[in-house]
Amino acid sequence: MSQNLLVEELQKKIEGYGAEIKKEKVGHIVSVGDGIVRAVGLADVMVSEMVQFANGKFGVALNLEEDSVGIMVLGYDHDLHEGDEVKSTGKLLQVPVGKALLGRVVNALGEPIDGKGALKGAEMRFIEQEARGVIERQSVNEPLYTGLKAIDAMIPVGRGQRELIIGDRQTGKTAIVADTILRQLTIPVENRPYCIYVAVGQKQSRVARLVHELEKRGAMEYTIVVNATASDPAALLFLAPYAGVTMGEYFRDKGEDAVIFYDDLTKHAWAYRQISALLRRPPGREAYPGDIFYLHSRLLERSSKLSEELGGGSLTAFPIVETQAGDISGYIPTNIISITDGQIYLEPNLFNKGVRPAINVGLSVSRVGSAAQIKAMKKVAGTLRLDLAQFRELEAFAQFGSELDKKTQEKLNRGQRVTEVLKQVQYDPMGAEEQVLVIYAATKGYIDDIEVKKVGLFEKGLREYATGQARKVLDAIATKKVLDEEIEKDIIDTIEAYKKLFIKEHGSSTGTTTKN
Amino acid sequence: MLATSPRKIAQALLGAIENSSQPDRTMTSFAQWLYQSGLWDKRHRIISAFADEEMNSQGLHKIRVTTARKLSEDEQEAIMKVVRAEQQNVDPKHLLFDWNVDEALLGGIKIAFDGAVIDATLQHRLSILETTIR
Repeated sequence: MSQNLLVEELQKKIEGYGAEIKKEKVGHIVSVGDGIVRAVGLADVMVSEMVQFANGKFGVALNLEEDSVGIMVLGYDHDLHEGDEVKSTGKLLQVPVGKALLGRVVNALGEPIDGKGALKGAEMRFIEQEARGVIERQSVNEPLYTGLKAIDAMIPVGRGQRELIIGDRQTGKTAIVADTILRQLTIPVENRPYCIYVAVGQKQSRVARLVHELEKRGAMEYTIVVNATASDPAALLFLAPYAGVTMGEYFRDKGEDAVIFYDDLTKHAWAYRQISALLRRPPGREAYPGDIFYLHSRLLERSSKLSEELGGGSLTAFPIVETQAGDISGYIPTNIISITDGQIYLEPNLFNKGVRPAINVGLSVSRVGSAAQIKAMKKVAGTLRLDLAQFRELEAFAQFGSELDKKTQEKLNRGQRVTEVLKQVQYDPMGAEEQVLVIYAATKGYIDDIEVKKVGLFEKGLREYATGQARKVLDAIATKKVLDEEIEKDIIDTIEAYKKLFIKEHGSSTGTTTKN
Repeated sequence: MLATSPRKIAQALLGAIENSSQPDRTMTSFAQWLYQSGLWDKRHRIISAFADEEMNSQGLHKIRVTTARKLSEDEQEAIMKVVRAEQQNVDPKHLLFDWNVDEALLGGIKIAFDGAVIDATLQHRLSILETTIR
């Protein structure tokens, strides 16, 4: 802002200033500690009302008891003292929302923490809102692509769905998040969903690394990062997911699409447990308060697909839960599994074996299913889950038997190659048309005679060949979204043409090479 | 943290004194109990709560008036008149005025009563202005 404009603005504010004298409800602090303040007075304070302390900081009144009010401090409590005044504001907590937040990293209160200056033109919305009713919604019918073959083929996610990502530490949960955000880059701007990544209790270095990757690849343009790190007070960890969903709802209510990632809700539950214990709420199972289910259900129910009358916008949610030693029957995991519309289960064994993404297809499911898939993908990936499940059983069986019949051996060979095809490196999300091509090649047996360890090479080459010399096939799949006779023939021709080149260069698994 | 609130302790003490034939002895026993139960450090809060309870029981309302300089009698009278008019449902005899001076307020007046505050001090207006400009 130029100096003249700044002076003008200042003059306007000072001349327009009219401090009205009004009666304010006040109380006094009787105890402070661990981010919780107990105050007396404040007789008319409401639950979840914001209060202001003498030092200008804010808190939220959570416990209304007979003689005192339990207040959660929004920030650090170092400079609050016994006897300090506490004022009711009469307002509920709000956060900034809108396109002004795109490309920014903010804290749980919506304050920028990326050093890029104040937010301009942001609206304010209440952090606690009721979820939309049944009549205001419609069924999920549009795919949300993650760019990962294993997910888009077998566990398809739709816009407006809630799909849980669950697994032990270091199994690739956040990697799925990064790839999903990057995948949206290839979608035309008018149809591209906005992304919101809510980091709850994560290491600052980890969030910084993710932001750096997204910025490097241009994905931050349509992404908001809400950061409540491990060193932040529990109050901010508790509020961060609600701040994020409020930002996502803004886009949904405008008829646009958004996707939100909560990384992770286990730490969110821990933060809420801490706050509840300090507020002396009675502990229940595993010391969690009695309303721990409601904590997550009211958050996740706010993700939905709205009816056409309300604009048809959607907010897709990917909550992440970290399990301990693969225990998906724990309290928090089972709570969230019962709320969401499916789960993607990541197994450490698969991760260690080199199967990445380490998705256990047997335990993963999408309750929306093929309603969120284009017809072309449905056709090629139709029996993939079943085939892989059969393969896993046969694989275990084959370790014991030495003589297998031909059909079993074929199934094993096919399964090994399909498993190889479903592996994917990080930061390489694939378009739906490429996925259809590659999975078609795998499921129709075109790579049965390629060595298992060369399948990755074949796939990479096939993609490059199709992008370069057979672009029209990919465009046809992307446009028509179905696998009609003509497209199928083109796909077969493309695969066979590339396969000839591949075998010429690398040979087949039988060790033969084609001769000119 | 106190297991029970100062207000509850104060209410119990007030009840005990009112029902006692030897209030002096009751208060001495109370002081002894405070010491033995480890609540000695909280005595100021408990005494303050007791004062509030005692006033409530007599239907008295404490009006705390803070100004940047000492007020003349006429000025105090004028303020009392305004407060009495505001608190029409309270007997004027039950309004106890507590006059305080705090130079940090710079000017104006701050009136606190029944858990509410009317802050018309210059200090408060300047802090609002600071927030507005920011």
